[in-house]
Amino acid sequence: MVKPIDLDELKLRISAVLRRANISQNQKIEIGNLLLKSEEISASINGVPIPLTVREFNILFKMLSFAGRAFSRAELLDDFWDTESNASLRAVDVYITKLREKFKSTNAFEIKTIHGLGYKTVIRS
Amino acid sequence: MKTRHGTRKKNKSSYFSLRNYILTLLLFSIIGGIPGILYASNAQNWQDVLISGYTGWYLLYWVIFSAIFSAFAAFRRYRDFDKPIKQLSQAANQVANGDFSVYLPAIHDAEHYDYLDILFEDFNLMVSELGSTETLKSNFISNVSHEFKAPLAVIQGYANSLNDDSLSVKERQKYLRAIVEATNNLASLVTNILRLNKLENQNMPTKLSYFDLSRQLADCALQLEPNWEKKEIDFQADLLDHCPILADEDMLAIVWNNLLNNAIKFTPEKGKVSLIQKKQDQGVLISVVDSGIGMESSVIDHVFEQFYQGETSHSNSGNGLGLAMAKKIISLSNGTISVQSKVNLGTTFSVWLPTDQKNDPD
Repeated sequence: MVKPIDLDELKLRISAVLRRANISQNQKIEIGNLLLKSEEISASINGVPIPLTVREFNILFKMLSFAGRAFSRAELLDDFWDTESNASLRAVDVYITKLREKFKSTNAFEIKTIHGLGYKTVIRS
Repeated sequence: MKTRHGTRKKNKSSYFSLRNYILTLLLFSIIGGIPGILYASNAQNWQDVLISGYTGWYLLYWVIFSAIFSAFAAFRRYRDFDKPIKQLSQAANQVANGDFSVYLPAIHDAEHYDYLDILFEDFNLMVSELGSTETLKSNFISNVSHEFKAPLAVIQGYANSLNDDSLSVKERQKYLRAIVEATNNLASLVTNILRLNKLENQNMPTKLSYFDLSRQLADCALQLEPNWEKKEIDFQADLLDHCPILADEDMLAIVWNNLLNNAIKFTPEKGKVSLIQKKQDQGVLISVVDSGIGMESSVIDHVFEQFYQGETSHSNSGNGLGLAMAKKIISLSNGTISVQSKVNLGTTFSVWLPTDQKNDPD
């Protein structure tokens, strides 16, 4: 960065670096009746386990770790799909739909669509 | 010869050149005179030529003739060439000393322009360009000082007030916040000025790399999501899935952030902002459309100028350099940027960038 440092720019760059490094300290996420455990790659509502594929879990876990933050489809694609796979942005849409379907019984959170750009999770207390 | 605005020694030149005269004399007398003498003197050999009286008259004749000829030639040259060139030289001296009001009128009338008149025309053009550069420079300097004064005044005022021990914690915090914000403004201003200056002197963008433009647009837009959410603005994006491009990633990010920020800033609550990306003419067209307050046509003409801020109520946030920088960045990337706007209906900024066709997967 060029001096004098623009603090806003510094903040944006730091968050971009952190984002890329996938910093997420949580081993588990507990919101209302929802419980996610990253070691077991498991999710449950009121103790009832919800079957999730690894990719589904990872996407949900990441989005809930940064709840309120918008993720572009391209970013999710980069993070959770192999570079070799020819998956398009539609694949992300498909997974989000699957997640919404699987978690419709809980009102701990909802996944909001930001039209044309991506998705974000919103925690409902 | 000193540097600009110092006095320069004028070079003196004279109208008469002894060397030229003697050369002229020799040329005429040798080439012109020989046939004459040979014929007139009936001499058998060259010694006789020299002895005969003709040589004396002959020399005298040619001395006078050469003098008249040289004088005539010099006069012609003076009138057609020396005088105007001396004028030019004098004018150039004046400009070097800082006078940009110099103007050289044409010598001949419009039907009979010669190369000197064209030279004068070009000279006048050069002087006016130099003059306008000077004006731009002083305008820029006064604009910059003006922009600096406001945040500096805030810092000074609040910093002084903090000396007061009787302030409450809340008041102290408030003052400190104001100081921090003002310093942020200053830092941002300086960064932008330096960037803009660096761009003005560049012909090529610094770090070219291949990256996905669609991804960049999505990321920039999403970063501003809190801003449009706060104003309940309906943000629509219509982007290509992938758009590989060879460009300076950081510089383009500055452009998108600027355009998107402006669109959100100038659109009222519950308004609409759209980001559209589509292929066009061996490249890609990116449009930022808002339903905001729009601009008068008089403002549109100046909107890409440095420090220009049309709507005074919004001029406190931002510093009028964003669009000037955007324009420079886009032109360095071999693209184009344009704007259309109608007051109270909205504004559309359109950016076109060339894409590398070879890498286009479609």
